[in-house]
Amino acid sequence: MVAERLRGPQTGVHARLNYQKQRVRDLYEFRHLVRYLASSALRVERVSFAFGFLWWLLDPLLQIVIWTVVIVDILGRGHALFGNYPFSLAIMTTMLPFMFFARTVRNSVAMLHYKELQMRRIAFPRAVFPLSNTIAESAKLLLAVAVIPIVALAWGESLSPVQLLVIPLMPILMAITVGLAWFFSALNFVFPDTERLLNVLLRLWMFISPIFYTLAFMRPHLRRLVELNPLSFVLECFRQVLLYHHIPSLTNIGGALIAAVVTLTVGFVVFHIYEPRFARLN
Amino acid sequence: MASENVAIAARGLGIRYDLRQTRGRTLRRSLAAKVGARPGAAEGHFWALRDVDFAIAPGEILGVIGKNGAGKSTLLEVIADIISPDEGSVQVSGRRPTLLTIGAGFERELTGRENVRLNAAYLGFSRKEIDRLVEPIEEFSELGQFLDQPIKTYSTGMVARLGFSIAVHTDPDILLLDEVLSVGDADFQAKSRARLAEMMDRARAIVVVSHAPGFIEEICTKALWLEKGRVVDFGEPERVLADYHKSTVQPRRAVPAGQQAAVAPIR
Repeated sequence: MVAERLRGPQTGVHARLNYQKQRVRDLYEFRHLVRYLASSALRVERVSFAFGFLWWLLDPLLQIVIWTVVIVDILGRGHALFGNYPFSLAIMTTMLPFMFFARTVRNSVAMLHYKELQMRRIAFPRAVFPLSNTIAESAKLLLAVAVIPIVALAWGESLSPVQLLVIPLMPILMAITVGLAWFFSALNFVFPDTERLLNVLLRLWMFISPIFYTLAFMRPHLRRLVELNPLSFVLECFRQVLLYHHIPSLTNIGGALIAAVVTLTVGFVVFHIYEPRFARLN
Repeated sequence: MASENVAIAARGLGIRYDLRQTRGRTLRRSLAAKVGARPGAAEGHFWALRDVDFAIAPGEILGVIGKNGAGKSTLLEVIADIISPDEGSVQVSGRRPTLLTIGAGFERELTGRENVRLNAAYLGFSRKEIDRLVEPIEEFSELGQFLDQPIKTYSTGMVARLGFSIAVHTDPDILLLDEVLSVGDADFQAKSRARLAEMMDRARAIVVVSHAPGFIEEICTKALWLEKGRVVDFGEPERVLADYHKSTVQPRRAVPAGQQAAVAPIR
């Protein structure tokens, strides 16, 4: 059977909705490309450096060491923040998912530039780049999260099966991340300075995310603001599961799910509103 | 032409480039240089294609001619679904219209074999289809043991050979050629021409952009002449080419008497 496609500008709500639905089908059709891009990116990174995949562990661990030295040893504030829990372990449970998010968004925005030749010569859904990047980075995150029980044991903390709940939390974090990666990638095509601004924004984002503090200790008006951050609830869930061995509260899991649905949908729609221009804008 | 007898049809097709949103890199500079005094350029946009109408039936080969910047490559990009129309529509009957391109999806750090798989994935092939494609592509490329080396170690000729081998094994329904490609030594070129001829036999329709009028006249069943993004003529290749040829050799404006000696005829 011969496939027939009629293409033209989308006008009207119905046509725009159909356009977005078609983009979802396209992405599904190219799922093999997504898988292959993710696996080849990991392979390239592994063979390109002397320490290979050890960097996936060293990078976040070094960050945690630096922050622990600054806050506990220099400022002497560690115990006030997380009580009797070791500070480095406490921030590790939220810093790792945050670093995954920041790296994925930054790489996705950059990736859409250095894949310019592909976008100008081959027809494929450009949304595959942020998506494959999110999948590749999530493999690194899984490896880094697997180190948490080892660090916990080293600090004399116990382990619990509740910590395995981190596995269903991963797709929620990935959905939020890919949604925001799509959003910022599209934005970067409209405002070319987005890539630069993003570096500053991501640094700020770390401090408006509950990494060095928990939502429960915040003043109500500040807390409401921080809760608008799509990462807040999912980071709280990671901490509850990995540090306190608690099943996440309904508020946290509900907030994380809402954030995932909203960011994924908004990111996908915005990305595809601007996608037709990508091949012409580079 | 009834719609079931159409392989490719454009109706009032328009592609608009917005120069304000074009990045200050190569495309912006090259477009700005090309647009000159085109309508709309003053408002920050110009039409790379406008009011383009044509239709070809299954089995036909369309040759697109025109000067640099006429919109020939843009037309191929619209048919290939790389860019979308801003005005009018394009109808393509056939699976996977493909712009034959060499090495566009290559990753320098990956091996030749991995790049074959990656390129095929970019073109939308499933894993099973790729498994079937890999061996013939590898054989055709004649790269032997180099296929297991990263392509950053390849010479330019080797990269082109691998890219060409992938391109000629994709067998699209609608084949789009931006200039006819030739790479490699005489033997490889002969093999490539034979393979391209096979592809052309199997394709439902072909669109080829070429600066070689002889090639268009020899193989095409229809010709489309574009000038500054608009259709000047569409029809029998012999007639369209004759008119095109006349327009390119005629001086654009009369040379004032007394200055004629200063203008040397360029042939």
